[in-house]
Amino acid sequence: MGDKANPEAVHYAWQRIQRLQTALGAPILMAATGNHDMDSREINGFDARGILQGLGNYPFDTDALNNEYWANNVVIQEHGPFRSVLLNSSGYHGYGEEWQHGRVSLRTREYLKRRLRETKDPGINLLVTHHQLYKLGGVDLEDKSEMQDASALLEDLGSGEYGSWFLIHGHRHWPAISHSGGGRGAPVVFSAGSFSAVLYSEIQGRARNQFYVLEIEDTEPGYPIRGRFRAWDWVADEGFLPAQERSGLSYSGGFGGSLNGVQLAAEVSEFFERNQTGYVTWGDVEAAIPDAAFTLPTDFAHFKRVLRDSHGLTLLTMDNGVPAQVGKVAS
Amino acid sequence: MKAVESEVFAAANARFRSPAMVARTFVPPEQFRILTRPSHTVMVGPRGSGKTTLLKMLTPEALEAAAAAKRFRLSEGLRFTGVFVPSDIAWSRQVESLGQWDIPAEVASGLFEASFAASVLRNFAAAIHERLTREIPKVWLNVATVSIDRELEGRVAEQLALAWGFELRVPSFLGLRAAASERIVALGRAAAAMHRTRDFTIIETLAQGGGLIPDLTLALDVIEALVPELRGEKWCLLFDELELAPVEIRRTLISAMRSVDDRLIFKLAISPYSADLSDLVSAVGAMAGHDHDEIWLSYGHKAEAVRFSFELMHEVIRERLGQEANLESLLGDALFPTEDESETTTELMSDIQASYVRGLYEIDRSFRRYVNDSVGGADALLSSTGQERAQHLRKIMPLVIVRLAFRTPDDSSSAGSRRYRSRKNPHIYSGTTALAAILEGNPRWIIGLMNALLDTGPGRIVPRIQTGEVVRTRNRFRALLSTIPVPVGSADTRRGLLSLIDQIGQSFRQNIVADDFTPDPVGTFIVDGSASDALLDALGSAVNTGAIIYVPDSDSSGLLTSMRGKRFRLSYLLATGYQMPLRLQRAASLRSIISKEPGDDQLELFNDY
Repeated sequence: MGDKANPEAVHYAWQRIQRLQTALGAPILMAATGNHDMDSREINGFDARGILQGLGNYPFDTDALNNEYWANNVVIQEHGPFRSVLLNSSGYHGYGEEWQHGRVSLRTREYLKRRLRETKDPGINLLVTHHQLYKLGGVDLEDKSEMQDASALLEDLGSGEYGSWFLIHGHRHWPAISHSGGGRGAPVVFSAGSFSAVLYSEIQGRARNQFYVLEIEDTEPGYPIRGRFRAWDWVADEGFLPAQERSGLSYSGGFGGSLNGVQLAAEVSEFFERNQTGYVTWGDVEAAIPDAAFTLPTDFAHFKRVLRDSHGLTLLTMDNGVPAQVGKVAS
Repeated sequence: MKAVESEVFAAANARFRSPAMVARTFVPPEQFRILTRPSHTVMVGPRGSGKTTLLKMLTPEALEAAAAAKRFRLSEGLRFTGVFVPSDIAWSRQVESLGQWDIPAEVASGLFEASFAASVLRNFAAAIHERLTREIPKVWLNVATVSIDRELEGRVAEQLALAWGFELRVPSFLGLRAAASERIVALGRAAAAMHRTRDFTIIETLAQGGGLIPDLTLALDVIEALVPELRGEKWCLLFDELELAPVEIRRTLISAMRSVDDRLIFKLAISPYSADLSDLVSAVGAMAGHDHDEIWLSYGHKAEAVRFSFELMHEVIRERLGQEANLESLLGDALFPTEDESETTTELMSDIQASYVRGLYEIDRSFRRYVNDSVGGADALLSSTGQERAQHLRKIMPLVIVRLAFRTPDDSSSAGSRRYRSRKNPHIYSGTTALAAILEGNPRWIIGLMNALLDTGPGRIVPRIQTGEVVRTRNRFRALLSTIPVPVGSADTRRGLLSLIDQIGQSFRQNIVADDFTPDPVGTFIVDGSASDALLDALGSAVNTGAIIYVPDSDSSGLLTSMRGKRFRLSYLLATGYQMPLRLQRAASLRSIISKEPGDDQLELFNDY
């Protein structure tokens, strides 16, 4: 929320976030504690958590939940169709050199697992935290700030014992969606770009300030998490507008699909040939191949290349990048 | 998800918003009714006046969204299909590149016209797709209901591609659009290749079309032959931001419109001051087969702007609060009287205004002298009714308010040469009608300022907060003005546009606030016939950004085809910074205003009154 734990900025941003919650009529607000929200370098005194705890209703609006959060660095809640976990990866900031990275400790993981066993898997499991769980992208920022022991957390959540997971994190300002390492049940990891930070020069050409609206399909316990996203870019003097290509994440896309680019291209090509028409609409494709709508952005980019190069088909898009039609490259 | 998009994340500038997003928050101004007529139109307005929004509202996508939103109704459905053509900044770059690459003028011209035609045809192909794939009720789009299968669509697309010389890959209208995009890229590559190889014959394979209008006419013939249900339909080319387009585009358009097919309608949007605006206007006016209209989206006279401001302010509130809200209960009454003050002024406001008159009468000798001489004293002035009240009180009230707020009392120890009070926060520019006037009917300002005010929380928005937001909006506008380049070749403009405007504003302030009271001070200016080209260019930029507003004579069309001899006022947003009343004042020649020596008291432009 703030920069170097500036108390006024943190206070202001928290008020704005709550106002946004009210405007949206959102019943649940999950705010992951960022490294800059904790006063880890004692700029404002010795109490690294003091500014946040002074907000009163942060990150939850009951004392019981806030006490659980600060005591265990994690809170598990049941909300009917989904179960949420808010994980404080900045919980140890203020101790030694901990400010350099995030952490999920053994004690936190054990507590998390116990609470997950005590609660019911409704199908959708959502974890929100601040630090990235592994390194992202090809840009070397000489960064080692990823969450310590995240691999153990991912192993736990990817085991299938606790259901299927969708993880959201920030910190790196790098918009991306990926599957974490492990089996087919490994969590889907959504790396959110920054809403308003000044981006590092190294990534300015490949990412923009963004926000997202995610839609996750209802699913049975243990079945994969699938969904779609919409992304908006910040444009100076204009405000937020539908995201462009090369903004990190483009305006629309999906996650949780089981087909990779080659497989999807083969299925689309087969569907096209079966139809015997000059073109097929993307709506037709999604109706025939439901998984197509949930293809990860990286797989989708590969799909377009394979579709063209191996099947002689091209994907036409609308101006906002939304797929529209598939037809032959050359007659 | 769609509801979230429209209600919370809509940006104020329509340029980057889809027509559907524009439609969900659209409030039609009076001029929209004219724009929906199947006639050629030149629409002129400064930055932020809503030109793009209005044009986008004529497209099938917007009409479909507007029909679903049911926020307003048209008196009758449109009788044409809108084809939105945004100006592309790349056009100007292309012209520059071709100029720098030593490509022969004839070839460069062919390349550029082919590229421009391909851009328009690309949008035309997209519009056919929209027209035939969207279900729009007749009360919104009153054209034939036509549905064609993919096989026929493929044949039409193939024939159009053949007619336009495009290489069609996917046999659909979107495929045609993609083919047009490929042609634009190919033309760019061809130009680069010509620069490299000096082989100019490549142009022959790429610039095959017969020019924009022949290409469109041929396209309509093809469409009508293959889809007879579309016979006789009108297609309306909506050219936006033509001031950004290079002069070559405007010339092409002008010549195109002189020999036009009556199935094509042109609606052109452009900033008020453009060297070739008069050519565009006369080209549109000279076109056979249609009436033509001129739309002016800037309001020299306050009442028109206030009416639209009210409507949009209401709409922003409804959008944000999810319910109707009374503007007056949210923002309060304004101190400045409205034009029909006798009907609307409450008893409380009359008392406040009376206290202003008595207050100024006490501290301002020249005002006291004027009141005594003209009506026999303050009591007589305040008790006047009917014609006398109209002649005296209503006319001078705005002047009384600013003089009392900003003038040093004559008997003050600080009086002397200093005539301005350094008085903080008098809040005279708050209240519903004052804000509506200050916002000038400019959608971008209205949306921005109202949202900022509503951000401050529920309930009544106090004058202090309103004043603060007006100052912030004004300062942002001033920051924009400070970045606008103007010719430096004249003494009038060498210090920049903002400095020129400040010079005018400070002169008005001197006359209205500091000098002896007159009921008719100078507050508008007329551009002299001898004004230099540099000064005209600077003033043109000021008009295009909405910093100064053209005040047409009552019998004038409103189109600003020349600056000389025309009357202008400062925008009311800027006028608040010069402590001016929100009303038209007497005019003086611009030369007499900017030749004046500045007074002793320089305005504190960034103070928070």
